Amino acid sequence: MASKFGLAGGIPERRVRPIWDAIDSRQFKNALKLVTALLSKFPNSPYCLALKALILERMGKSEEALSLCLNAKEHLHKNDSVLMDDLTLSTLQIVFQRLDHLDMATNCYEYACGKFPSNLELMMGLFNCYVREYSFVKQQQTAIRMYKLVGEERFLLWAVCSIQLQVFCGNGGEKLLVLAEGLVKKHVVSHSLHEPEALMVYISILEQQAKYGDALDILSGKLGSLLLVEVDKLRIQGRLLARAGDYAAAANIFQKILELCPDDWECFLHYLGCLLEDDSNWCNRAITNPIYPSKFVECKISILTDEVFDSRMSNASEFVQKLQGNTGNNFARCPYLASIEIERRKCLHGKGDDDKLMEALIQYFVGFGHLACFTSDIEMFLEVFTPDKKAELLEKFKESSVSISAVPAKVLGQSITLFKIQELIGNMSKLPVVELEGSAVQMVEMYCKNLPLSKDLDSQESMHGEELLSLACNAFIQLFWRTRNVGYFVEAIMLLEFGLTIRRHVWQYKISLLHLYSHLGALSLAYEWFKSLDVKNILMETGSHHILPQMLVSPLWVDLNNLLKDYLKFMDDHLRESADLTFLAYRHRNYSKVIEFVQFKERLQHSNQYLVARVEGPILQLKQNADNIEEEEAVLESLKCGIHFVELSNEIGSKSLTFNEDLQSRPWWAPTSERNYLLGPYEGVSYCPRENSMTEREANVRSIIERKSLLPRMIYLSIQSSSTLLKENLEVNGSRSDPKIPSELKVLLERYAKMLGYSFADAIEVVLGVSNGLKSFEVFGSDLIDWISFSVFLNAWNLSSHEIGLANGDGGLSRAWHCVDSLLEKYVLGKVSSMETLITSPWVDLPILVQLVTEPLAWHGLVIQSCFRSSLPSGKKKKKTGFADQSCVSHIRDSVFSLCNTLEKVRKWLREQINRPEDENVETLLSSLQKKEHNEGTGQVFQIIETFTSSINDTELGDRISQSLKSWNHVDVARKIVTGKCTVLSEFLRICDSKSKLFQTLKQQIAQV
Amino acid sequence: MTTIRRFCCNDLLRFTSVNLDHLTETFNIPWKPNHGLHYGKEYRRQQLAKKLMNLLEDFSDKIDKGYFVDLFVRASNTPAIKMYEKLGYIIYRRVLRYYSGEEDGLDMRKALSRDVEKKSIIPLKRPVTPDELEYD
Repeated sequence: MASKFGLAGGIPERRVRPIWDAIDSRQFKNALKLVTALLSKFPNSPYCLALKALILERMGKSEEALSLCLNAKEHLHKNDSVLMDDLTLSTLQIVFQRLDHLDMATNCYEYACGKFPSNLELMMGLFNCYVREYSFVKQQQTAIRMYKLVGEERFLLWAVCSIQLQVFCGNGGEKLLVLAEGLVKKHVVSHSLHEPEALMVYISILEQQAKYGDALDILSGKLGSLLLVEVDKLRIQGRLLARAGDYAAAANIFQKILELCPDDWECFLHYLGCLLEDDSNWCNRAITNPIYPSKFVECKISILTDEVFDSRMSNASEFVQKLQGNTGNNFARCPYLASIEIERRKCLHGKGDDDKLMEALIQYFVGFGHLACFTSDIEMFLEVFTPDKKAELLEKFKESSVSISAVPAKVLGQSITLFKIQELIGNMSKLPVVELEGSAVQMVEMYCKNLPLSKDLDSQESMHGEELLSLACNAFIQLFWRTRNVGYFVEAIMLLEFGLTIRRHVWQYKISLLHLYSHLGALSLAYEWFKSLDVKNILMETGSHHILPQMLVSPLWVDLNNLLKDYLKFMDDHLRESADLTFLAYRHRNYSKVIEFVQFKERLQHSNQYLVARVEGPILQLKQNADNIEEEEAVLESLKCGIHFVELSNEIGSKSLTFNEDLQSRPWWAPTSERNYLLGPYEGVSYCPRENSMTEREANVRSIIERKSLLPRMIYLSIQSSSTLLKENLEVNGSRSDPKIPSELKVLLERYAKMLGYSFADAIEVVLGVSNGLKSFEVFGSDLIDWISFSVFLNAWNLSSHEIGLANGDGGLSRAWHCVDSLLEKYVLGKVSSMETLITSPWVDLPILVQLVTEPLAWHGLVIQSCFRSSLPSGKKKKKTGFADQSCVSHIRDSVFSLCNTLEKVRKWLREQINRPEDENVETLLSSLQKKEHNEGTGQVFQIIETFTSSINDTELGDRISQSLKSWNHVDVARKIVTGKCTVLSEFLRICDSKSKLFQTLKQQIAQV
Repeated sequence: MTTIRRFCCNDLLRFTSVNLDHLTETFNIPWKPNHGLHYGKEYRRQQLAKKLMNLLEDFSDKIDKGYFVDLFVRASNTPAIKMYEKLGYIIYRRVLRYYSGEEDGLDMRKALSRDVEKKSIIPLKRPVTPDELEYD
């Protein structure tokens, strides 16, 4: 528009260009200077104002930027002579968007379009605004207006996509699709269609209405020629025929596709499904959309008569054999897998023959047994076999492997496959300890022996036999689980560290190590390995589960803060920018992506991890500032006193959650973040299979969010509630505090009790019972921290309400105080005296202690600080008459003394561990690896590594591998573990020290009363 | 199991094992009219890359009627560079700090049948910066 005539927003372009250049090269100060000069010439130009706002926003001056934008907006609205071009509006739009005022940008465009109803460029800008706001109906209306204006195909499709969005992501009923169909149909008659994507949209609208016949007609008509790739067209055709129930025709089409693309497994399943007239492939597709489709093919028991079934299966076999003949030596696995699947279907139909199935599997092994994907390829077929048959199959694989290949890499590949199959069928867990050890030894020997095969590979390429170390590590962890001999655990760590010395890029080793170090209590090392995985962008959503849950209960606050900050930034950025991508998809006429992008954004928006992080971020801030009540109050104020979080807690039950974490990359002993088999007794093979208990996870996440999001508000109310205690005593005739506070706190306490599974009254009985020793801590179960927090908030509430049975005069008050002190003290004393002190022990109770000190104890500290502060009504000067009620003072004094005592116990334990001589710790760790008997027990593999690295053959291994082997030093690893564990303890000690200092100060102050 | 099909957003979520590989550039959303070539470790050494590249070249030649196919690869990713060279690609130019502002990228090209004189693949003498790259 204007700029085409050398004008930008009504201003000569030569004057604007230097400003944009300065912005692009991030010289904002210079840009500001230039734009200010320009503004003095054109003081009322909305474009100049918008440009200045943009620069100020980039400089972080949001308020000034907003006020300039509003000024520009006003000029646009008031002054009819002002030039209203897209450049001005889009500049304003950018700033409004960055300031989170999308509605104002929309408003500007709406006004402009009202004024210039036939300006296409402005209307596109308005459409863009609605895309950003996800206002599908308004998008549709605007697109229709543009379509009416110029009759272009793309605007029609924009409208149609907007309609589809209403149906899939909004409140629109499916009837809207009839409207969409009508619009396209009419356009086809008058203008036909010209873009392949437009045709795809047309077909999808028909398909969504189950008008398969119509869709097929269109596809085979003139419009079908828009699809230039033959197989793409065939795929749609096959799908439509199958969904229409014309299985015979569909099978023919899928057969054609397989002739063109013989390695297309999905297509083969469609083909077979159609032959057997099974619609499992076609129904429920839109409804269920798990991240990982089930490994097992969905299929129904065939309804066909035996005769028909037999003949169809024999047709399929014949066809598959033909494919096998055609593909020759072309690496196509599908035709061979197809043979196996046919035999498996026969078994499911009750007409199978185990031997034939086994034969097909062996044939596949002979051709592809050396490939890394072999085991996962055949996993689903093994399900039909009994354990005995599985063992028989393994033997047959072994027999046939002997003579297959003379190529060393292939022989190695096959041997690895045999180990993997053994693991898959649960054989490893049946082996006696000695044999399992033997297997691990074999694996590591094989790894070392085959290192020369990787001599000429680039340092970044995966090496031959890398999987062997992962397999050996799995075996060691099982040995540890069975025997509780920590030597196996240390050996697993050494083995993986050794592997990473040889090639530092093996992410599988890194993830295993991350979990091993987490379990061992060396979380700082786990975090180091996590960082080395370079988790960014979408990986933050799919991969953070490896480390986040452990970090949330750790004292590594700085690292946790970074983790949460980076994750939330990625998610928030994506949610903010995803609409830009959607608009880009519109502009590029990639209509299928429009719907995909919107759905994907919704999926991320409902991510369970995102919600957890949004709650845990503020809680971390509250933990970090709890030793200073003023700072804590500033944090609470920034959180609007926790009101929104209470709303989140109320809503979480009805919110839909998505689970986007990739759990497949987790080690077998910790299949989800909630489960760690190593914490319980060995339960054999039944526990080994990887599970994905979604229902359990979902319930767990909901309850965590429900409880945790009450915390900020309860902390706020507790501070308020306790600040009234001494004031009331002091100012008998003075104004009472807000009575709503205790009543709101009571409501939250009642909810909290309910979440813990009790009525309010019963919950009080429980905490009192445990505190006075009538009940054991075990009644708290896994909710210990929540229970103790409950007692803290209960005490705070009782300070101002004096209401419950606790409050029998001073007796009630004193019981509530005593309850908190005693719970904290008793639990800590118990744990500190029972915790192991060896460096090799995992210290599984440490996270609980950390949580205890950083949550309930910290919240109780805030209650005390609040009581104290209320005795000093003005300034920091202590008012001697403040403590009128001496009994209150004595409760606080007792509590402070008790907390000092409790913290001292923790600090003492921590100092003892930290101050242990490093060499002594290293010695202890390494001694767990010492071989006690010949060819038995821990340390065998460790010995192999040591022997291997002490006699390196440079010519055989090549420079790179030899050099890395020479750098291996097991003592360094042991020392790293010791330091890593001490880092965690030191961080915890630092937290305890800070709290201790606070309470010591309070103790001194109270002593002066 | 192998199936070659178009990439979609949800694939980003099941792509972890590939993304974790240190040579894979972890993109955010698979947008822009370009393609990536990534495959999991389990499926290596099966000539899948060759098949995919052939497919891409075929489409670009016959359907998009392009002059050349080009791709970006980390300058340190020697294995991939070697593979692309084997498939007939040449290093057309170096793009400074292309990857996350840190590592250089190599722009590799292969001429298609329409570029009869192979003009599109005459290597540039000097490296370029990312803002010199022309997008549509």
